[in-house]
Amino acid sequence: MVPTMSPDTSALRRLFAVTARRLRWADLALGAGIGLLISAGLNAIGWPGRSGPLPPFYAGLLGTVETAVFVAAILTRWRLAPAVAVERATPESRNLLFTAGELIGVGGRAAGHKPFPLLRALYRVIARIVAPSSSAALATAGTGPSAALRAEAPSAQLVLDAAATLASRVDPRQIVPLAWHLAFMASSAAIWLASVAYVTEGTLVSRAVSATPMIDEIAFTVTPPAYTLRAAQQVKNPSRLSVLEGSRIGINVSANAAAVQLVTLDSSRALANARKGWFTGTMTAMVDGFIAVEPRSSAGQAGERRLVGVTVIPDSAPRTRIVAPGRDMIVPDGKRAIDIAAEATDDIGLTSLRLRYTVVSGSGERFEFKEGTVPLTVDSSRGTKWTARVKWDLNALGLESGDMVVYRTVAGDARPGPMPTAVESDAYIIEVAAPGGVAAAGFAVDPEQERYAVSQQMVILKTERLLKKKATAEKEAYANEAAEIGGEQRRVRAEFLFMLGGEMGADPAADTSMTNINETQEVEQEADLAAGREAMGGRIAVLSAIRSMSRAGRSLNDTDVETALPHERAALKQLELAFSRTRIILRALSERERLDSARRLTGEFSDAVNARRAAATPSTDMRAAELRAVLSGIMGLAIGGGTSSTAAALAERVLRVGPADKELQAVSSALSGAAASIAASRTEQARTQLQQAAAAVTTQLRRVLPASPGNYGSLDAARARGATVESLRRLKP
Amino acid sequence: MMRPAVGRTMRGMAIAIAILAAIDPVFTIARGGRPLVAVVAADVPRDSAATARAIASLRSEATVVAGAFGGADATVIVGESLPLSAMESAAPVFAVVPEAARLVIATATAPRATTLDAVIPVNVSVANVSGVSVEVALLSGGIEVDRTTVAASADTHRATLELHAAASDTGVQTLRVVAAPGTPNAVAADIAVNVGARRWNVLFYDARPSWSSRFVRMAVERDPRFAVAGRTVTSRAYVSDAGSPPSSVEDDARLRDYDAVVVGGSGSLSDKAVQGLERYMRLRGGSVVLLMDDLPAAGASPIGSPIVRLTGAAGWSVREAAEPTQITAVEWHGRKLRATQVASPDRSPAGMTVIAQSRLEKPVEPKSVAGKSAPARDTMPRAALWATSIGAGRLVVSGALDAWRYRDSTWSNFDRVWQDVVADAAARAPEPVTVSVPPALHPNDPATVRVSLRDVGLRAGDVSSGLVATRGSVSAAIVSAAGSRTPLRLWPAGSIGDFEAALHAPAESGAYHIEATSGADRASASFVVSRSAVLPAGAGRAALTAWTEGTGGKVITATQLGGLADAIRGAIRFAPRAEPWHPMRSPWWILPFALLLSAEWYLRRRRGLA
Repeated sequence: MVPTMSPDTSALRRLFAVTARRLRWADLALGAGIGLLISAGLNAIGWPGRSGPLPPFYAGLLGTVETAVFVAAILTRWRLAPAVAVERATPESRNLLFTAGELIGVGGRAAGHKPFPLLRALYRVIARIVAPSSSAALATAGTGPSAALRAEAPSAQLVLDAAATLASRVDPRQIVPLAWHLAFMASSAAIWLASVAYVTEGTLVSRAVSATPMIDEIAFTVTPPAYTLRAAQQVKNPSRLSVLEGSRIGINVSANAAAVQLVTLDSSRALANARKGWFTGTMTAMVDGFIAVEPRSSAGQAGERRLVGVTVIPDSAPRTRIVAPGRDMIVPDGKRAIDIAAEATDDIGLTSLRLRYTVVSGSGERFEFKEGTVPLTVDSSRGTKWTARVKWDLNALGLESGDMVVYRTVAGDARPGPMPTAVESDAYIIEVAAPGGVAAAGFAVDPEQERYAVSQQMVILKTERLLKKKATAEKEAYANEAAEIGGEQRRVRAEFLFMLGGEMGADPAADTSMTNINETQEVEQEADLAAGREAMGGRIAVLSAIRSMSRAGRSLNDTDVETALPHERAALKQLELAFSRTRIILRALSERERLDSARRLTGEFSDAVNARRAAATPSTDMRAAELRAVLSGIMGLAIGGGTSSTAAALAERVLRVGPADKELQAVSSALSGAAASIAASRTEQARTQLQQAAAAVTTQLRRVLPASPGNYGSLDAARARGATVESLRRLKP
Repeated sequence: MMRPAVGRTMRGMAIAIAILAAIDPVFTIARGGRPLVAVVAADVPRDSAATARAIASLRSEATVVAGAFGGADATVIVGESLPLSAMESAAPVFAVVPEAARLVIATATAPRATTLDAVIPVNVSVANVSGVSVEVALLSGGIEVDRTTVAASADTHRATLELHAAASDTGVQTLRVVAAPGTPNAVAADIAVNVGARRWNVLFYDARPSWSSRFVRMAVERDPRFAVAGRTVTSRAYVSDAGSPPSSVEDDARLRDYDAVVVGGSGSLSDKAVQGLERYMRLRGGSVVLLMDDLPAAGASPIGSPIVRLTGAAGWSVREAAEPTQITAVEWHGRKLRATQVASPDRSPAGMTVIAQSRLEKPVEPKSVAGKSAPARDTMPRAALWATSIGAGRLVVSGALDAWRYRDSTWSNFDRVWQDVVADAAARAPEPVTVSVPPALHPNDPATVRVSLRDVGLRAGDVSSGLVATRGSVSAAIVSAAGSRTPLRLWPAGSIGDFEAALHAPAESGAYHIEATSGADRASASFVVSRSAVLPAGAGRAALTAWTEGTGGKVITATQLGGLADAIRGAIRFAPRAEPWHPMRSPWWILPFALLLSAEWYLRRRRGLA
């Protein structure tokens, strides 16, 4: 037996491996070339467009890679095996290399590259038909070399040796020349690059240039006012911006356009062209409105507008109130301390909270006012809500009997502008009442303060309630409450006193103040009310009421509630008489207003003519007219008669009607959505959005327009009704 | 040699059959066996399946025609409503109705004409509602503009509701009401509304300066639906005019141009003025709105006082309240007037219709002016606004004497209420020519157009004007959207001044209008022709049943289709009719033809010839 040696197949294996590698590269290059040509073709027809997911450069690269892999996979499946390729490129081999390849298992299909199962079955059938005797051999076709062809066989060794010798002389570069493939790929790449440069106008990596101007992206930088100490925010492509009043909005627009126009509620201007494809601008948000940006080409062609609603949130004024004591007080003297508690809130932040007071002393025209501030202990830890307390020593004010202190808290925030930022709370009074005396008359609380409705009826009500409590109330509390009611009675009286311009006695002294009343004297002169210039019933009634109030106030101050109540009721009755509809309350005319009696009855009757004026023309309800136009536009869109630009224009038009109206903002959003749906050919969604907008606009019109009267039947029916009524009238006595 | 002869005979007979079949002779015979029945679907989309089943059940017994046919022996209506086309035939009508009554829109009405300055109210009545509530939507131009859910009455299973649409342009606006939209039971009805630019002409006539009239006039002037002219008699010889009003309300010729006359200072109207207003209402059919400022003098004679003469109410009383009271009406949808003084007649005059009432929370003492005993302190609602008919016209009386004092929007809806009251009054006044036509029709549907001439009809009907020969001319035409005109022949209808024309809807779908002209006056009414047009069901099944039984037919349910043919046979007596008969068209001839040829071939094979 001849000992067998394993032949040296390394050269063969190396040749086949290099060949296989070069074949793969060739397939990939071919695939890449095909992919690049396909991408170039797509660029030529405008894909991907500007609105596509990727710029053309990256889309092309991605497509090329995918195509290359795909083509290589297909070709690998179908291509001839490396051994076959080598054999074909080396004619002098005369099947030697192929056989060697099969022997070592790197050859063609027969050596290990199996065909598809279907094909295999087909081969077997054909074999049985054509050559049944050889089917046994072919049954193993594709499953590996037969026993006779094993590498270890002597004959095989001869083949392998010869093949190895030949293989060492074969240049794999000549078997698979890559130059053509690389050239193909390079030329495809050049064509593709040219197409990308064309569609991107030379920038290569940017998005494709579109035929019509287009906006790619809108970025807003919202900078709140400096005093709010809030950070700027950036938003991209919002449908609505909600900003603080006074915020600065920076606008950055990326667009395929020569210019971009910025349209707001009250202006239209071009944005600055920061660099190619980018436009910037700023604006300050003071009122609700919208921002619309419109791209324009160099020829003036306008592209689709983008609409962004703007809601401006005003910086509210702070609020402050005095929590404790929270009511007016009448104290017997000023030697005491009052606990004051207050709070203040603001939507952004407070800057100050103080307690201010005004001391009022004197009476009539001889009032003296002294103002001051009380330091508060403020807890500002909660930022937007501050609380404050103080134990206020009134002793320091040096109050005397009859003096009054009006105090209130003042809170401030950091709002800029000419308007005052400080807000006052309700004012309360601490009055030092003299025993048996009357506090300063003619001094009324600011009539704009509406803490409660002080009326004569309320004074009566409070007096009645106080009387009911007399048996059970403590003496001091009873007296204090009576004094408070007396204070209210005096306030009511003061109102009517001022209304009449003060009272004048029959013989006023030169130095008598118009508002300084000697009430004792008034009571004694009651019988003279109906005399002189005070003959008008309404004026008499008011004067009588004032005097009754004086008596009531004095009685209340003396804690004689039972006596005060009838006087209060008498005052009310006089007031009702005074203000009944048939009464006229006269006051003396000033010099300028006086009538010239000499001119009376001096006109010529013949100068009287008919008066004629043109028929009134009702003003056009612009809101209704605009809403109707919007509705007409929506109907037009619904029947398919418009584009997305039409819908976008309607959205802007709605916002112009009422930028702050929430319902109109919703209509605008629906129309903007419809515009996007129309652009994307989402017909059903667009229809639904148009329907929402139409229904909402109809609801708005229902609020401002009346309903048409209905149909009322025929003339016959009207005649019949009339005849029936006539018959009934004749029948009724 | 009989067999060859037999074979030749067979062959000859087969050939003869073939030749005869080719010739296809026809004979006329008198047939009495199969009635001719027309089957009509009441609502094509909903009833098409049931119609097909009805046709299938009748085919074996009758000659069936799908669709209305005037010469049919009987008509079968499948559905729950009575289609116009089925009413043309005088033959008995049979109805095939569903087992359970289906949801129908009984009525859907909207103003025939409106303007852009008003919304269009659509009143809908839905019947056979199963369940507690029903959803109804209103579509304008195919787009839904309003939708509401309304509760149905538990006993009648009906629901009544109001929807609104807004006109966006002038022209014909087509609306569609859909009940239960998006469900298998959805049902629709179509309406057409003419949106125009016509304004109501309103005259404000104040026999003396009147605060009430002044503020009502200002409210009406602010409404673009009105063209307002006014005359205030400021003193005996001088007036104050706004626009170009007639010199007085006695000027019939000038007054006829106005749709409504609002009268202020009514206590100062002269007798002639009152007569003029009466003529205006009777002979023109106009509406007068009387704004009372004060009451008739105590003890006033019914003949002497203008208010008493016009209203027919002799005794009046005023109720005064310390606080302004609300004056409300259901139709005002929450809007109100306020007044402290409300005058109302002590006894309701004949034909009085209360428009709005005033209600008091606290009882007060009403003051009677006519010297009669005042009723006890009461909080009963009083008629503050009421109306009555005078001839073909309408008189609206306002007893809210001082409502103008509370006209601020914080107190009342003064402006809107008076705009609506005057608009209602003006809308009731007939125009010189009126046209009516169904709002929606299917192509070729029959319909009746009615034209009324106001002045001719009212003058002829007014006995007080005497027998006056009245001449007039009237013409009408169908006008398409493109402007083509097709004249209509008008025939006198029942009353003087009323005319009718028979119309078959055009075959082409679209919006049309009927234009009627009489002298210088013209009017138009719009309608829509569409294959998918749906009319309200109207009385629905009740009308169908009545019609069916009136023609001698019968109503059966869809589950009883098997008895339909027998019912038809039992009801109709049709005369035998001459009909063509093609004997050779029967497929049975194939049998003898095939048998003869087969037999002949068999014989030939037996002889060895084949």
